[in-house]
This record gives sequence, structure tokens and C-alpha cells, in this order.
Amino acid sequence: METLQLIVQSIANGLLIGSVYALISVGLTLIFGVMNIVNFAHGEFLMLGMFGAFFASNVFGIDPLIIAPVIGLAGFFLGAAAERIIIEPIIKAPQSAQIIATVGLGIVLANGAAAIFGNNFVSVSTPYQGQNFSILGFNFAAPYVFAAAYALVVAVLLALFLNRTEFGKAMRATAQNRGAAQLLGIDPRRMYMVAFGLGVALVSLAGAVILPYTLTYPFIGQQYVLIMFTVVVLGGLGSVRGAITAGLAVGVIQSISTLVLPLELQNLPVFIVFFIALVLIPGGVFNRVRLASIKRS
Amino acid sequence: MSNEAHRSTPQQRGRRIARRAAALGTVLALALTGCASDGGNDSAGGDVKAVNLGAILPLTGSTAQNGNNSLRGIELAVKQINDAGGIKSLGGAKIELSTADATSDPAKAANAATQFLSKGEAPLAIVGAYASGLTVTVARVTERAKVPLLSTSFSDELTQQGYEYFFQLPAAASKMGKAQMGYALEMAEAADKPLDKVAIVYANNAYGEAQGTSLKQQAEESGKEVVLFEGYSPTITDAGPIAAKIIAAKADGIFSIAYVNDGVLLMRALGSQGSAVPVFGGTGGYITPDFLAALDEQANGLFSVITSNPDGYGEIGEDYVAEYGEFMPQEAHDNAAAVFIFAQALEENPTRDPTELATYLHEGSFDLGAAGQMPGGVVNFDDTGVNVNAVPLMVQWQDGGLVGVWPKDIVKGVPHWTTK
Repeated sequence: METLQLIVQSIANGLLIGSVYALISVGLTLIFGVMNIVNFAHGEFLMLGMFGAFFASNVFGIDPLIIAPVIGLAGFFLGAAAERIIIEPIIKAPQSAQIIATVGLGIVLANGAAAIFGNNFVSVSTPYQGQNFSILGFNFAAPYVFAAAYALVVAVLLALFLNRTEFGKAMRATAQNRGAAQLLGIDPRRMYMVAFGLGVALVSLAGAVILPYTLTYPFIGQQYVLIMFTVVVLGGLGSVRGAITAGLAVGVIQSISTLVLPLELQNLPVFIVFFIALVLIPGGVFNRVRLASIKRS
Repeated sequence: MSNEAHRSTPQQRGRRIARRAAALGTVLALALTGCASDGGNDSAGGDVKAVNLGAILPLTGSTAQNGNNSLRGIELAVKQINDAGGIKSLGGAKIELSTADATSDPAKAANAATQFLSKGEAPLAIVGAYASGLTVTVARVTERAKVPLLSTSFSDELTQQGYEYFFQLPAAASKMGKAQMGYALEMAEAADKPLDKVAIVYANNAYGEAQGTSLKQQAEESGKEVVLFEGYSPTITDAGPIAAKIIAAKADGIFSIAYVNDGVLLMRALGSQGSAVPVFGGTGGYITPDFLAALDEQANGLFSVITSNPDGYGEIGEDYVAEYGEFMPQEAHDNAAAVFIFAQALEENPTRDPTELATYLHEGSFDLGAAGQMPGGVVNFDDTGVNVNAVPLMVQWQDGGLVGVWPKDIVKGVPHWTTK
């Protein structure tokens, strides 16, 4: 039964890391859903969130998990400003211009951070870094558990925002049909600003929350981009629920695959699933489900 | 409509722009040549022309910290040599250092090297590019351009290409791997806690694979059981699965080849999953200040193989601390040694011809400054560019500092065993 224990532990670990993947990616999908823009600088905003938490921890001695909501708030304003300054002028431009704008933003942020903070790897020291929770004979590293807990809370809050508040519903309306939303009196420019701000807020909060178990340096955004985009496309570009589910799925698939496959191939099953999902279900899993339910109604 | 007569045609506009560009270009060219002749060779009794030394290092990307450390070592060496009067046999010529960013991408590194060599006057020699993957592509460029490349990267393939302009200061990766395993087994025997089952995990690039394979070979030759042998991508963001696999393999010793990012993640993951098995690193991230800063006390007790003895960095080590506020990492020291070798070679065989310099680098014995602190006390390159005196050593993090602990005859410290 040791194998069974190993498998269950693996799935559990996968869910923990998967919830982080979900948290990182949900902002990206939200931005795309509302604005039809792919934010190629999303990884760099993650990096900024991590650095923000690092400085709060180093200079003020505040634990990253505690300062995370503040980092998220700062991220919101940063994202809103970025939207106004960089995205808005090119919102009606051809897609190539939009891509270049966010790619350029990413390059500027990464290299700017490198110029200001230097190219060193930095990380924080927290009391719970070496601890783990033991439940039913399974071990869970504390920083991962806290990150997953945060992800869960944020997911719930996001769902409440999108489904129960006027603003959230207005945002979803803009995502579904810009023109119709505008006719109903919803200001798309405001929606865009808030959506981008919210997207950046989510990913910078994620950065603060994952810093306890990992390191950061100015170019670390590039290392997360692959996972982010895989999760977002697998879940269906624009679908928040899709990103969350896909994030968890990717985490679990990765984790289980290391039991049977060499470590180097840990992403292979992810991409196989990805490929199958795209071929059989164009647009991602949740788009198909959504289209089907719309057809029915 | 009378405007039409005055509105210029596209051809006219084009010609006008071209004329202006030509005029501007001529002015700029004149100005630049004017500047060049001012600072260059003067009439008798003026400044001696400097010798150009190039440095191509990863200053951005995932190996940026190591690249920057290397650069610091180079700059310190250049400063010390220039302050002591430059290359006296060339009339006191100072070393002028120019740098190029190899980034952390091998293709971009080759581009940087090509651009470096094609603008203005080519350097007399180049030092670089720290990471083996980058050095492999840069070396092709420097070999074609017939400019000597002095390198601290230890991939075996670099000295197996028949290059005449490539010089490898440290021991090759295969030697490092052999030492990493061999010394570990010897130390364990000497401490009466022999290792029988070993787990080997390595970053799956040129450096990691070469050294990893050599670790496996040495383990098998010593009759030990290799319970895990796996590569992984160094850009991982989570080392949980790797640590889980290592622990499940139930090894007595863990041998890791990693950079800072994956090394720290791996150590943290092993720690949080409760592993107390001794870890032996293969340089890379294991011996950098960032590693210590990230792991703090958890770093103590970790072993690593290394190319030069930090206990023995002497004066230049102290100067580095005075200048930069942290201990001198191995890559800073070894790259500084490369600069001292360059200076000594020019001193003993004055020339401004890269090919002549390359020939002398193969013939001479170099022990000036930091070069004299490389293992063996002197650097000698054979025909393939291998430093025949290079020998790895084993260090251990003790109380937040790197201490040489093996082989006993060339180090001052002793290994601390903390296993059960």
C-alpha cells in the first residue's frame, strides 16, 4: 500500500502547487476575457509582487503572507496605471501592436528591476519555511499549504466579485459582448482599466504568497510564462473558472507524472493533455461547455 | 492648387534626406576620427597605447549573478595590474577592459561575441563566458577570429574540439564529477560512515550532464549503487517532485549539480520533506553568496566540489571583501586568475598579436597574482588548452563560510559530519 500512499501524496502535492498555478494564471485570463489583450508582461508583474514582498519583509520585517493583500492593492494601481498609459493608446490597434506593447512592457520591467535591484537571487526567511503539516500520515510543506489556502480564499472572493457584485457582472458583460454592454451603459474604458488592474493585483498577490517557498530575481517572469499560458489556454482564454480548474489539473498531472516518468519529462503529460484538449475541444474545455450550454438555452 | 507646384515629389524628398544624412555622416566621421587621433598614439613621449582585453559574460538572465561576480573579479584584477604599472615590457601599457553581455542564451552569446569582435579594434584576448553552454558558442566565434579565449567554464567538450585559441583554467567537468564522488566517498570512509547508495540529480545542460555522467561512472567504479540518476530543467519553479523522488530512493548521499535557483529550491524542498542525508554539490550555485543568503543556516554542512580553494585566496580575497562587501566567489577568483595570466604572458612575451599570445599561453607557466592561487600554485596549458595542474577540491559550508575540507594535503579544514 506504499504505492497508494505515494500516489495520494502526489495528488495532494499536485493540488497544492496547482492552486498556485491557478492563482498566477487567473489574472491573465481575466485580462484577456475583458480586453481581448494577451498580457505578455504578466510574468514580470509576478516578479514585481515577489520583490515587493521581499522588501516589505527585509525592511519592515513583515511576513510576505501578511503583506500580500497590500502588495495586491499596489498591484491594482500599478496595473490600472499601466493600462491607462500603455494599453489604452493601442486598444484599437492591430494585434501585432498590442503584442509588442506588452512584450516591451515586460522587457522594460525585467531589465528595470535588474538595473535597480541588481541581478541577484533573493528570497525571504520565514519561521514556517522548514515546517510541515502531517495529516493522516501525509506530509505537506507549510509554505505550500499557506499559498494554497490563499489561492482558495482569493478564488472565492473573485467568484463573489464576478457573480454577485454589479461591477463584476458589468465586467463579465463586457467580456461577453462589448457592444451590447456599451449599449446598456457600461463604460468599456473603465472596465478595461479595472480588469487590467485586477489582473495585475491577482498576480502580484500571488507573487507575495509564493515567495516564502521560492526565490526571485528580475528575470524570473520568463520561468513562469510557460505554465501561465498553458493553464490559461487549457482552461479557455477568458474563463476564470477554466483557469482555476486547469491550474489544478496541470499541478496534479505534473506531480503524478514524476512518479512514473523521468523528471525532465514532467511537463510532457501536461502538453499531451493540452494537445488533446485543444484538438478535441477547440477553445479550451470551458468554452466548449459554455457554448454547449448557450446552445441549449 | 498653386501649392502643388511647390510640393516636393517623393523622389525629391528622398534625395534631400539622403543628402542631409550624408552631410551628417561626414561630420560625425570627421569628429570621431578627430577624437580617436587625440587619444591614441601621440608623437614621441606620449601615452602608450593600451592593450584591449574583452570580457563576455552573462550579465542578464538566470546566470547573471555568476556573470556579475566573474566580472567583478576581472575588474579587480585589471585595476590591480594597472595600478602596479600595467604591462611594463610593453612600455607600461594599461589593460583596457571592454565587456559584452552574453545573456543566458547560447545563441545570443555567440551574437554578442561576433559583434564584440567586429566593432573597432579587436581585443588581444577575451575572458568568458562562465557558463559552459555559453562558452561553447562563444569559443567557436573566437577560434574563427583567432583570438585567445581564457575561460573558467569546465565543460569537457571545449578542449576536445582541436581549438588552438581556447584555454580552460579549471579542471574539466568529468574531473570535477570524479572528484565530487571520489572525495565524498573518501571522506565518508574516513568518518566511518560509508556511503553505499547514492542519488545523483543534475541540471540537464552541457555542464550538468557532463559532470553527472562522470559522477555515475565514479560511483559505479567504486562499487556503489546508484539508486537515482536524473536530470531536470534548471529553470524549475518548484523542486517538490525532485525532492520526493530523491527521498523515495533512500540514498545515503545526495549528489547534486545545480545553479542558484534550482539548488536553493532543492535544498529547501529536501529540508521541508525532512531529509537529513548529506548533500554534495558540484560547484555552480552551491558556492555563491546568494546561496548562503537564501538558505542561511540551512547551508551549513553542505559540501561542494570547487575549482580553487577559498581559504587560500589571500590578499585578493581580502581586497574583494573590502571592495564589494561579500566573500570572493570562486568564479570571481578564477576569472581574476585569467586576467593575471594574460598580463604575465604579455609581460614575458610582449606582443600585440593574438596568435603570438596564444602560442605563448601554451608554452608558459603562470603564477602571477590569483593565478598562483589556483591548485598546484601554477597554471600550465597543454596543446588542447587544458590546465594540466588543475585539481578539484571539496569545500563545506561551516558557520556561513566556505572551508576547504578535502584532500587533506591541500586544505586546512576538516569535514563536519552531521548525519545520524
